[in-house]
Amino acid sequence: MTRPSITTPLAVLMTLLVGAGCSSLPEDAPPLADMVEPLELLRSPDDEAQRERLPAGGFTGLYVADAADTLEAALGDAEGVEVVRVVENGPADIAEIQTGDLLIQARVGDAPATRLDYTSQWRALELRAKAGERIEVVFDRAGRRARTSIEVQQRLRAPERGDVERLREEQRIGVVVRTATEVEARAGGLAPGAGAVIVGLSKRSPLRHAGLQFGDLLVALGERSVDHPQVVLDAIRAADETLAFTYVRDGNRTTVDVSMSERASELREVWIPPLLTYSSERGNSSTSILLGLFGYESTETAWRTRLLWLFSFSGGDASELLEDDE
Amino acid sequence: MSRVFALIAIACAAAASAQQPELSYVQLENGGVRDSATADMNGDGRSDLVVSTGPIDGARWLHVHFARNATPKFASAPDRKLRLVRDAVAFTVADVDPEPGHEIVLLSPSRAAAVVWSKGSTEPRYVALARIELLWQPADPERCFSWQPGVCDLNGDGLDDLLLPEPSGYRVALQRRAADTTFETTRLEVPLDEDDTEVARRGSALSRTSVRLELTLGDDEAGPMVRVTDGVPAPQAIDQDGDGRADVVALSGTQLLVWRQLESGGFSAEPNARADFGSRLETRTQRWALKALLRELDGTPGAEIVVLSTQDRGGDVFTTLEVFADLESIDANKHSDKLRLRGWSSSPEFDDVDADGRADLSIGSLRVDALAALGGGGDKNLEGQINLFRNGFEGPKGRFARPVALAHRVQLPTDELRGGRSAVARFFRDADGDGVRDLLLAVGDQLRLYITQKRGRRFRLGEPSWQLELVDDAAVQLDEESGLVLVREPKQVIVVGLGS
Repeated sequence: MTRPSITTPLAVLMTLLVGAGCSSLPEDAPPLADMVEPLELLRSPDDEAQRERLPAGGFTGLYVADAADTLEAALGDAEGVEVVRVVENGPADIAEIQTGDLLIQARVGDAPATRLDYTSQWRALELRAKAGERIEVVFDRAGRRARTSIEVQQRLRAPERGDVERLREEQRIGVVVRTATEVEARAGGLAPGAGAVIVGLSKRSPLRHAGLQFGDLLVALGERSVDHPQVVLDAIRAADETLAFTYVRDGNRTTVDVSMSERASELREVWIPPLLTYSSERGNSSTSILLGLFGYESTETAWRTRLLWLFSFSGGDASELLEDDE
Repeated sequence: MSRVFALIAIACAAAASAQQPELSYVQLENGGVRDSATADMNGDGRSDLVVSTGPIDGARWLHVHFARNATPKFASAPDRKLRLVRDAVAFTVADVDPEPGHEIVLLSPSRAAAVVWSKGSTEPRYVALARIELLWQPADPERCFSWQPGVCDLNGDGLDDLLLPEPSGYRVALQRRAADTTFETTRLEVPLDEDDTEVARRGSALSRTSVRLELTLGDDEAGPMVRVTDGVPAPQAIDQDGDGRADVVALSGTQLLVWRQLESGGFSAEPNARADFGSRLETRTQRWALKALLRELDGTPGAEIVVLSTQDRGGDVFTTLEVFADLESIDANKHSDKLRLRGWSSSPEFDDVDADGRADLSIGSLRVDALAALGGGGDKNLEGQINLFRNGFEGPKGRFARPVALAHRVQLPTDELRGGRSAVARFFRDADGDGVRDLLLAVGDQLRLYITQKRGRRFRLGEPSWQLELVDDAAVQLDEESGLVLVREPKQVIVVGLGS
């Protein structure tokens, strides 16, 4: 008969201890549970008829896209806007711009040069330029810089409607923004593709306390113009304690200082075997004392208590509402 | 329906024999399969599968399927998904970060960057590796292709380095890993060569603006009848001079250029050794094709140089394979071995078929008179032959024994040759465990495994021991490191696991 070995329970205990310490910690914060995103703001307003009546501005025969979807941008080194289409025999084609070129900076006439990071900045130049004026462009082709000059023509009809993006910031402000439509942007004095409309707010968002509402158009954060909704996220992430938000509501422009918040922290796990174990995640918690001699679990809608491994009591929300006493 | 029967047959066959390959089907309804690669992506020691897809929801994706300790080895649902940035031209897999396993390396026209999934994070982070001017640009919106030859350990420190083609040169990026991982880059310049103009005009040899060998047969006026496009892992990283350090070797026009690794572990921009094949080829008057590969064949320090030249003298086509010990031997015209094959030949493969520690030569050949069949109205099939020569068998090491150890005739469908679909013939793995590698042959609509049997001094192949029906547009990819065979179809990847 083999002698009972003390090493077996020790090994089990060690496994438990090591197992408790080995679970990897999440690197991503959970989504905000109290984010409010009204359904009526899920889609952009249908203002196409209004858009087609807006002044069309100049025509360069260039279609550009943000360099945000490039490897440079993923590495945080995005520069310029990418030419995604050149109209055959159009002004840009004549100026020998090619698909794939990156437009780095441009200027109309003697105006100061504009650094190009977002498509709205190029569209602003097109809107500003008159037929016959020239836009001087510095572009990058396969790592080499060059200059050219595009003679602007009169645009005869509105360009294609731009894409809409929804971006979330859930670490410091708790806000969801979408790209403003061209009508919204130009009403706020911005070029198409610029501006960010608030379509979601956390219940505890500092923006609510500062008076901002759903549908407000963000046009500047601190010193930075919102040339793309991404600017909102970048500015919030880089802000210290407060940040000035400039927004447009019903045609009125307002600037408010907003205090930055941060993620609340919570105790998620206590592991002192065999005395106590406790874990909590997203409203669900579990407590066990003396290897389950006493146990308690709860979710947002139910709870259960165990005693001496045999007895248990549980309860929670019922399938009906409370009767109204009155 | 025939596909179903084929699968049932495979399943029955698999039940009957323990030596049958193990199959996994990774299906992709949306987007379609464009390319694939294998590497240990999660650090568990097993080779995982990376699939490049066509556009899904407006973007191309890379799907990573982890190998499981279960059957089938790969599940259809990917374990990781990466939405590719718009300007990603190519991808490769390499160990370029301290995180366990390999990372995906994306190549854009101007950057090489690693995509790293940290433990516990679902979102990847991007790590800059090197600034480059990639040869291929811009990105194809329909596909992101795999460029695995771009990864090698050049300085022998156990870390993956990058060797990437650029216009008129190559970019070497050597990995240094201390607290952080950094890459030290050097550009290798391919010197201008007047002969290249001539080569480019003829369009029948390796061009410096491409890393693919393309040779065409047939009437120039009517266009090519046969186009053989062969992916060349150019440049190669191998110890050419026998000093224990890997060198970079590339073929440009008629010159073999060598950038020898310096004692410091770096490279000079200009090649510091070269050999010229110009005098060996009647380049001015004849149609010709040239290929040079470096392989370790005789066990002595320094790889041997294998030169494959094909010349067409008024319809009399022959292929010559010569082996040289070093660059000086090329100039002195002193080969250590020479083989001559009638007709056109495939790219030679060097695998240790008989497990004696030396790489044997297998090479396919195609008769010239059979080419007439391609002119229309001819036979539906052409007859080709796979030849196996044993290295150092009853002779000096590094010399391929004659007569041929194995000659196996195969029928090549002419439609397939016209369409540019490549046949695969490789002594890839020992599927039956008898110590001899077996032949994997993908021709026409069949992928077949032939068991190689020893018959005295020679080998023979029996009937196929296993086969898989190939659909149109299927491509067969053999992964040397993992031993996996990837059959890439438009909507799925079939992963075939063979023996040792």
